[in-house]
Amino acid sequence: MASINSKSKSFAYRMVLPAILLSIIVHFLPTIWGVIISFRKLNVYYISDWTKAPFVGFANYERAMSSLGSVFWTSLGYTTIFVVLSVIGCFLLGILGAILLNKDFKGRNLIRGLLLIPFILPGVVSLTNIRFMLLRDWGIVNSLLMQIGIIDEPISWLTGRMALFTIIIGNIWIRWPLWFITILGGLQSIPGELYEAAKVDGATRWQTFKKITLPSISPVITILTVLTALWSFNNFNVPFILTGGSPSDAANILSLNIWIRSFRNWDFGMGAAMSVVMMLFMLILIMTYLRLSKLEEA
Amino acid sequence: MKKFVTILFLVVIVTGIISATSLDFMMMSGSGAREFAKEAVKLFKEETGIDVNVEFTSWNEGWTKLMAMVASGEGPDVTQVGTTWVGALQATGAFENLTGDVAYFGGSDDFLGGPWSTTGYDNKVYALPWFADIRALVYRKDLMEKYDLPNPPQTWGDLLYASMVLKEKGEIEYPVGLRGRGNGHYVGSFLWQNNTDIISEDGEEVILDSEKAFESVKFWADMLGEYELMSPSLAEMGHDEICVSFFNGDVAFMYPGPWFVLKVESEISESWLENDKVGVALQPGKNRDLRTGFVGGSDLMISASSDKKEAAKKWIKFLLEPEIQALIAEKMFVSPTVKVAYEEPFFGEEPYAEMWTSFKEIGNAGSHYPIHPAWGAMERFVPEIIVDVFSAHANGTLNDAKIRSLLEQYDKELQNALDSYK
Repeated sequence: MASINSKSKSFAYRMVLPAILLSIIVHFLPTIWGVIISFRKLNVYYISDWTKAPFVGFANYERAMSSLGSVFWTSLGYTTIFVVLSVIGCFLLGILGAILLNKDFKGRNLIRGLLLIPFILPGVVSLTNIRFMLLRDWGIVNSLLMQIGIIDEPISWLTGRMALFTIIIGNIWIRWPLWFITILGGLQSIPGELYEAAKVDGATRWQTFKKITLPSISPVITILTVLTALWSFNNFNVPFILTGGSPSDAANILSLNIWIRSFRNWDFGMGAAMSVVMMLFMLILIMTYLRLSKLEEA
Repeated sequence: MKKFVTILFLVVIVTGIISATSLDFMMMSGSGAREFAKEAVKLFKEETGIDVNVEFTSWNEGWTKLMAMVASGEGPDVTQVGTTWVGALQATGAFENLTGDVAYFGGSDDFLGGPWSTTGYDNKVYALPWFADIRALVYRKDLMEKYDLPNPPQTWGDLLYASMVLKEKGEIEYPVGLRGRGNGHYVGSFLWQNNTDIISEDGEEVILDSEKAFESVKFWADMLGEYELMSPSLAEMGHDEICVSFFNGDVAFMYPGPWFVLKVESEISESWLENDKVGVALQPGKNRDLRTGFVGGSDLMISASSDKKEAAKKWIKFLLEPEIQALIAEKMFVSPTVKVAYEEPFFGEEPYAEMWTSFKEIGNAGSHYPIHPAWGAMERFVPEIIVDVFSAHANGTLNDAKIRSLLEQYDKELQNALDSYK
């Protein structure tokens, strides 16, 4: 018996070995390299031989956090707003869509399918369309709002502070269908007897939602919250596509900021330092996710 | 065994022949680039027997690819580079020093002065000017005549006055079209037009916090905010959209290169030129003596690791021949860098002859960002000033204090980038 166990263990190890090796090559080594770079003055002059880039201690970190890089803290602030509002938006839309489409009515499956389109479409397609719709002079959104008399002057959705609002909308648009379909799955797993019992006891709709629906789907919501926060925190595509790569401060969230610093300003050392700080924030989110997953399992 | 040795020998010979007669060339994509490359490669092969594999890339990706090339030591034998990149690329040590080969390419006197100044720093030549991107004032000549306005506007005052009249007469709501994102290059132009620059003459200090720099940025920022002569939607526009707006009659003044005629159907641009609706002139200065504008373009560099340097030099020499300079101008509407090329019949063809003459003259009076090893790291901050000004306008916070604080912030950022080379 023992030999079977050890054989199957050895088989299992061999099966996961390629994945582990790939992870080491693709994730761990570049991460370690990134940390090393963050302590060096690696710029365009040293890129042909990065080992010659002078060691500068924490200078890159100091620059990133100092007044010169106040952009970092501003960017972190906007990133936090971006993450929090994205999660709230996805939650509200997801739960509303799931509750409405959990009811039995004709055409329900068709609507469920249609609502998944933003998730199925490549993000770049959805976001490019959103960008066109939000153009100040030629976009359909301003045109409609002006036609129905809500605004007198076109709004610059992609410029200034409004750009933050726009990238949040774009992020919610491509992510909320995952919330919707996952919560719907959660709702369908709630036994109907619970609702019948609540009805017999004279519970109101709100009480039923609060006492039965919400607790039943809370594990799903917790995981979705952490995942959406994680994906939003390191999101690059949404602000890049919506702002055409030239973001105003409000849309210059951390991942885009790091890319600009590294690959446009050619300051790889400082870009790496900012990435390490970002990684620490991400680790907090990942630890939260793992802890919550463990709690769910328990 | 004998058979094996024979096959091996043949393989070695064939591989040798292929590698000796095939060259890799990285070119930036753009209107007409592929048509030009196809024709030029064919002509070069006929002339020399050398085949050229052209790899196209976008301007955005080009730099990343060059960095990968510098880091790995592997890449195309010849590369098209932006003139503003030359200093930084020279400093990497990954490109061939061509100082000793200048005579082979015709000598410095064969080239226009502006483009030749982009060949390298410390009196060394690492890049050969291929074509120039000369930014001129392109304006509505017919409207200037209609309202008896300065034709062409020669000073900032002229430009402001003419724009205000066109707005007041209800002709065009937002007469000035300066792009609100990407490399507009006009940040530099307005500084040079006020007899100042981004870096001091000794190359040691960033001088964006100077009073003259403030005046320069304030001038174009006021056209956006104070006088409402520029549309806020320019924040979403690049050159293509602005050129289309020009031909739609929504813009009267813009600062493009000769390629502005390619942005609409040729019948439209040709009819505008034939009917004298379009004027091309040197950009206005703060006063008449300070008229200038950005002259950039593309240079050619050879990879230091290339094992086909002689073939690479032949390819560059070929691209600088007057007929090929005329061919690229015909396909891409860019200005030649070789003086004698302007004598080619193409530049005398109507309705473009006058336009080409103007661009040649403007090119001689143009200005360029410094060919400094640190400029590559500094360049990116310049368009960010434009984005920040447009953002401040959208937020309703654009005023003198904001402009000063932006310039102070960018002065620090740029000084930091400048110091990074030391």
